[in-house]
Amino acid sequence: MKRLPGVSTFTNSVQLKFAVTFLVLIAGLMVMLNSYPTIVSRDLVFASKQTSLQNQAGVMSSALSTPDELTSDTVLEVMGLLDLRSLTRVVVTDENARILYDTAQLDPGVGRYALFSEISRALKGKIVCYSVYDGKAFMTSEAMPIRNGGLTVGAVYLYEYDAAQAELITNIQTNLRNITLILGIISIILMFIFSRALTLRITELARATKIVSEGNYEYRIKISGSDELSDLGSEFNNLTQRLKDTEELRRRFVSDASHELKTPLASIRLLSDSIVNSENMDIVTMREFVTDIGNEAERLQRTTEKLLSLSKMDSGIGFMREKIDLKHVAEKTLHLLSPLAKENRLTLSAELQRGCCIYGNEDLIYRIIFNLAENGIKYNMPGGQVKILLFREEKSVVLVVEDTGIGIPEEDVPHIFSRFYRVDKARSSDAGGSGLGLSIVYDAVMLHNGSICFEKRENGGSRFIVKFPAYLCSDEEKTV
Amino acid sequence: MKRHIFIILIVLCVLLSACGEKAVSDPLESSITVYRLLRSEYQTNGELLLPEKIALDGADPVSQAVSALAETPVSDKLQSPIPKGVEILDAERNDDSVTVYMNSAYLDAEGIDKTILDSCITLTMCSIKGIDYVTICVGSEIVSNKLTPDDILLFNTITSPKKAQMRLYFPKTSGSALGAEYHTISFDEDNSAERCILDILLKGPTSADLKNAFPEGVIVLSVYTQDGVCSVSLSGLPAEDSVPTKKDAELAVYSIVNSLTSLANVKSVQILIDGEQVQSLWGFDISRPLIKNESIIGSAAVK
Repeated sequence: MKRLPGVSTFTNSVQLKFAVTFLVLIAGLMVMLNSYPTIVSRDLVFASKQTSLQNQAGVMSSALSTPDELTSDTVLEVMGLLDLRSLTRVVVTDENARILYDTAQLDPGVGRYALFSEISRALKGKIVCYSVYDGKAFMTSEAMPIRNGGLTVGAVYLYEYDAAQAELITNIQTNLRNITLILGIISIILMFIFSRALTLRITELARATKIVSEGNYEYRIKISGSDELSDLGSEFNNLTQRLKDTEELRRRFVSDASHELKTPLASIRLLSDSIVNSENMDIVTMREFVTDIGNEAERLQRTTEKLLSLSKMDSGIGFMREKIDLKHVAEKTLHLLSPLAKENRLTLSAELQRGCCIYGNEDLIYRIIFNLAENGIKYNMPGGQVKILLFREEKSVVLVVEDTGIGIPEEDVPHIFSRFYRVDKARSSDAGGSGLGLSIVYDAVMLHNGSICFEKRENGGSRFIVKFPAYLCSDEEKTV
Repeated sequence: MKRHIFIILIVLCVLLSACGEKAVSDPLESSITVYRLLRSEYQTNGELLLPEKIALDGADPVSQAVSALAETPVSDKLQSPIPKGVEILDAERNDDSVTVYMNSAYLDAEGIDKTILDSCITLTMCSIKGIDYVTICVGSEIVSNKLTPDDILLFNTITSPKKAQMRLYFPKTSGSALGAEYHTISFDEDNSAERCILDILLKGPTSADLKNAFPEGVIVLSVYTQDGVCSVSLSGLPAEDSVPTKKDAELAVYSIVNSLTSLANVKSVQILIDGEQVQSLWGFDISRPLIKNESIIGSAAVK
């Protein structure tokens, strides 16, 4: 079945559910408010009627308990002394239920038989009282036996029709109904306003989510109040901010990556074009050009390799993990870098403690140490120093790489781990840097659940401190 | 509750007749109404006896009424009104009455139980068409003579100080006597009980056994009660020679007199024609105030 979209959104809405729940509650309360007081007051009137009629019947019954035989005349004489004005009908019968006395104005039944159930029971010795409320009046009937020397000689029957008390109760009922009607209308209006206000905020959240999911990361929700919905709103805003940052990062990475790849490709194209187009190129120049092409190709290769390893780390799969002794890896790295250090006339030194084991991937650890040390060598001055320290600190393994180089300007420090970020653009390109080295280090450290921080050395230069959670090998624990 | 429904039904009947619709004759004409005793746990609304219509199967209605009274009722709510040991030996119909013969145990029954038994027999027998009263005998001795349904009040007829059910009298269709019918009378300062009774009398009865006392066109000019004498001034009566018999006139007059004297404050009724005191109505003497005539009720044989 198809429904109008507006109708279906309303019937499925939280507001409707909210409204229906409250309506049911309000209706229940109203029914309670309307029925309970009426029932209670009605019962109270019943009780008071029964008592008063019983008292009057008792008086009549004992007044009629004379030793003489009950006749119309004797009863009339006795009843003449009593005040019967409040009663609608008084009937006195003999033991055969024949009416001896009747106060009815219309068709009094003297001489006839009163086969009322109340009188029948009274003649069997019981005291009977019935009370009925029909919404207009209380109708109470009471019957009591007349006894004489242990024998039931007759019965008294009283009937009272009381509209005044009933009117009182009806008035209360009417007032209550009016009050509940007004209260009901007010509460329904208020409920609609409140539920609208509440659901509007939920609708606003849903709308915001839709807008953001369509790609508008600028959208923010206005936060008001401090309840759960406000918390949800601010969490939503945080989430959107992070989405926006990530998206920005991704975009910049793609554009940077394409730019990085474009430059060497353009050089290669230019050089190869020159070779093709110049007819009389001497062999020396050509060799120089081809060497340049080779260098550019190598740079291209390095950049793509780094990008590959970065994206591999991003996905976080395909890394075998094992127990690694960092001292061993660091020594290997030092060995590899010592020719470069010698070339730049730098001192490369190390202080490596034993037993610094972690659980991780050897290639990545190697890359961390290599990139940090290589940076130290590249951005340094002749005669400078690069130092690698490795030690245990409680449950961590700490790797420190420091140099006496040119350092990093204050404003660049927050960005040093960003991809393609270069501190000194000109120099970095000369040194063959791609702006990816520290990004790779950062990602690799994160992949090992480690931490990395940068600080300035007191006498110039930089210091990188990397911390890994230590791997407690069983033989080591034995020695400890 | 049942009593309320009964009252409502009566009010409805009155309203229907007010619309000019004559009550249609009872479709269950060949049925009788058996009165039995309600068990005490069901006597919740002032009722003691419960009427129940049963269809007649063609045999003698009197003997069917006897066997219906004697049998144990099917319903749990009811019990037979006949006390243990008492038996209805025979019942015989004479014209408009039934004589019921009981065994000697009946003489031991007393008080309310005897009244209930007599009432149930009387009400049941008188529901047979044409039966007006019941006599109960043990052997050849008459114990209870000429019991009529009129002697029995089944419930409190007074509902409120301004509203009650009372018996109003109409001529029987046979034209021999007056029959009673319960009507709801409600009155106030503007509309006296006497006026209300006369309105109903002129409108006519609901029962098919009864007929209108006066022809259409008769109206009440005034009605007032002073010193126990109720003066009723009628108008629009047809001329004397066009009219019915003297018996019809007697029934018409006593339908007014007997109905009005059912009021506690009315002892006698003076009928006036167009505000004037007259010698006779259709040959029936109305020159003096008339008092209630019990003998004309039920059966013409009872004089």
